[in-house]
Amino acid sequence: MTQQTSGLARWRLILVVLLLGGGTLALMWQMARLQLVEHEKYQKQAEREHWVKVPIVPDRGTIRDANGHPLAIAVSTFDVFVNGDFFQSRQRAEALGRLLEMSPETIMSRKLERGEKERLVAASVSYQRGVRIKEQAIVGVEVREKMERVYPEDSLAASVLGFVGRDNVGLTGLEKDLNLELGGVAGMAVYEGDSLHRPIPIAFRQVQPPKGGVDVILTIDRYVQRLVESQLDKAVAKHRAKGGTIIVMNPKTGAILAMASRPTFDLARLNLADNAQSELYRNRATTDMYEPGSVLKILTMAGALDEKLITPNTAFMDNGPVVKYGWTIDTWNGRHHGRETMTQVLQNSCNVGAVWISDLLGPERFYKYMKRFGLGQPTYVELSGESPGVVRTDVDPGWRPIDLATNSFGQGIAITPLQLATAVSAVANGGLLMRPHLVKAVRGEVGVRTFEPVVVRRVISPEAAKQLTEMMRAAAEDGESKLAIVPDYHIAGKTGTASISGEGGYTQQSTIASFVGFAPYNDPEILVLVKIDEPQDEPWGSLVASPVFSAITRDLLTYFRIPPTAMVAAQGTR
Amino acid sequence: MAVLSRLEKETSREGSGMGNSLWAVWGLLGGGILLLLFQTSHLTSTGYEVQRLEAEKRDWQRRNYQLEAEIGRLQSLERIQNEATQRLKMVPATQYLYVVGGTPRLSSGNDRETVPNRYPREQKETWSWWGRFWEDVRQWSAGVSQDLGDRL
Repeated sequence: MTQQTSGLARWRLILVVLLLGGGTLALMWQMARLQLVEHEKYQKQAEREHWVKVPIVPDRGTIRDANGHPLAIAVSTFDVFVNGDFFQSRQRAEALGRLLEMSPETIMSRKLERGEKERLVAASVSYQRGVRIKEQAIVGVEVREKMERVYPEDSLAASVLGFVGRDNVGLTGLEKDLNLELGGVAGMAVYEGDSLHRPIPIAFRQVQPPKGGVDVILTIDRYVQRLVESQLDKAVAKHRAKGGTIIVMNPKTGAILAMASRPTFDLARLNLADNAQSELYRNRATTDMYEPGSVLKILTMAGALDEKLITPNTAFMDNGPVVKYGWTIDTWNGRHHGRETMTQVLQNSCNVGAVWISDLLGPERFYKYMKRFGLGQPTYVELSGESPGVVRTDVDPGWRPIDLATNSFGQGIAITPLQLATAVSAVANGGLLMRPHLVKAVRGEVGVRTFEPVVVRRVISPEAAKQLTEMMRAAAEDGESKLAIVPDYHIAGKTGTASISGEGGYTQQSTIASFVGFAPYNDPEILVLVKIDEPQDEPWGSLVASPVFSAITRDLLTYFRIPPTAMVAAQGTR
Repeated sequence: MAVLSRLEKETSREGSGMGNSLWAVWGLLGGGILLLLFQTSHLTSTGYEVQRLEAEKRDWQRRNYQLEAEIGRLQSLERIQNEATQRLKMVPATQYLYVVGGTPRLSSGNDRETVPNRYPREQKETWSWWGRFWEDVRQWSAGVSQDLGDRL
């Protein structure tokens, strides 16, 4: 019995020893596995939990108008979420309701759906209010900070400014093109954290501070922009037009004071998923090409004057339509004036006269001047997606001799509104072509950097520019575009009525009505280009675009405090 | 006995010297520890203070942007126009009257320094013959002194 007992005890002992030994071995193996075999994996995991890396989002710079007024500014707002714990007490809803100025019933009604962990009860709550909610620390309530772009002037200059995405990165317009400057550089905080990833104050902590984005000060003047947009909206509605573009520039510096195009979009109602809306995001003043029509006669005339082939008084006989290479070219109204001076050619917007001048110039010189004026190449304004236009010259494949004739009065040549405004600015500026620009200065922590106007090149001589300006004054004040007249001021300008080319050639039903001019004509401070697409009631630039030019220019001359240059009585109906 | 008592005295003197040294060491160690403790606690509180100030700075920046956006909204042209037309019952100007005014002088005392003005300068008054004569003489003398100055 005793032997049996002692044998059992021995076996038990052996079993315990084996179990303990096995357990010890297993523990040792596990320790060895953790410490040696998978050492790196667990070290990294520990570091991940212990070392906290938090990116610091920089403040996005503000876009301001020429006078420093904010057009787009980044502000911090909060989204307020509630979770399941919140709904356990009505007092919590009352407390949150007081802070959000909402009824507790409204908040309580937003119960969680099955499988939902939290629900948004208020979005984009103001910073002060968000901070108050955070300080109250109501159970089940979480506030998350986010950056939001605010537009104090609503959708003013929407296609120029563009917008940012949820990640605070610019998606269109200047927000995209100047994203590097506006967005700044993100910083990083690296520190030893506790189990909740809160920094341990005396432990290691290194902060790479973010570099905030710079403020961008535009040449756009919000008053001018608003005036232009309001006049454009009126004109588009009045003439039931498909759209339109207006550009206001300072011809001496190339500064763009306003740039508007229709149709456009509302910055407060962005829907990136809507393809129809995405069509509206582009800036039509720089991306869309069109055949300018008779306004291009200014440039044809400029080339001939600069080459001294003509003077304003050079006579030409307009005895009827001209046949060129099998094509008949007539005047816009079928009238022929017999003996006409070059000034009268511009006044009457005579296509036959323009063809005569292009013959004098010849293709080589004609296209040389088109290129000098910047047609067929981007203006290099700060906006991306700019179209260079289509100018087919005599050395390009597909060019035909008839192209020279049609190009001379602005058909068969495609340019952007900004290219035309820049080219005519060169005439207003004594023959010097300036680079159009939208950014006046940038202001950062280190100071202000102002951008000086850039002279691209001399296009025509000052004498030719002066002669052409006088001719344009006569064209605007005594020609077909009397509705462009600005009372008490002398202006210079030219109308354009361009046919639109379609699949079956040019359509007669729809046109592009335009006017480009500057004032005061002898010392220009502003240049205005008005382009109305496919007006339904009147096709002519002189009837559709000229009155818009007059209304805008009159207000702008007063706004810029430019003294009257003449007492010219307004003609026609205003 | 006398020898023994002398030995005891010497031993106790040596013992008290060693005790003093020990006390000094303990004192130094204690002081060092206290200094370290003080530094650590100071570092901790400074760390918290820096964190608090950084958060406060960020908070003020956020409030600043918020205020600027609110000012921007209040100064927006849309709001100004609504206030002008709806509350103050103002209407857009239909007639323009241009007044040719004089060029105001600055209060700095420098007569030649004037406020920039785009409008034409004030026309000179028509003086009597002696007044015009005196003005001509004054201008002539100013021209002569200028010439002399240039030559010199």
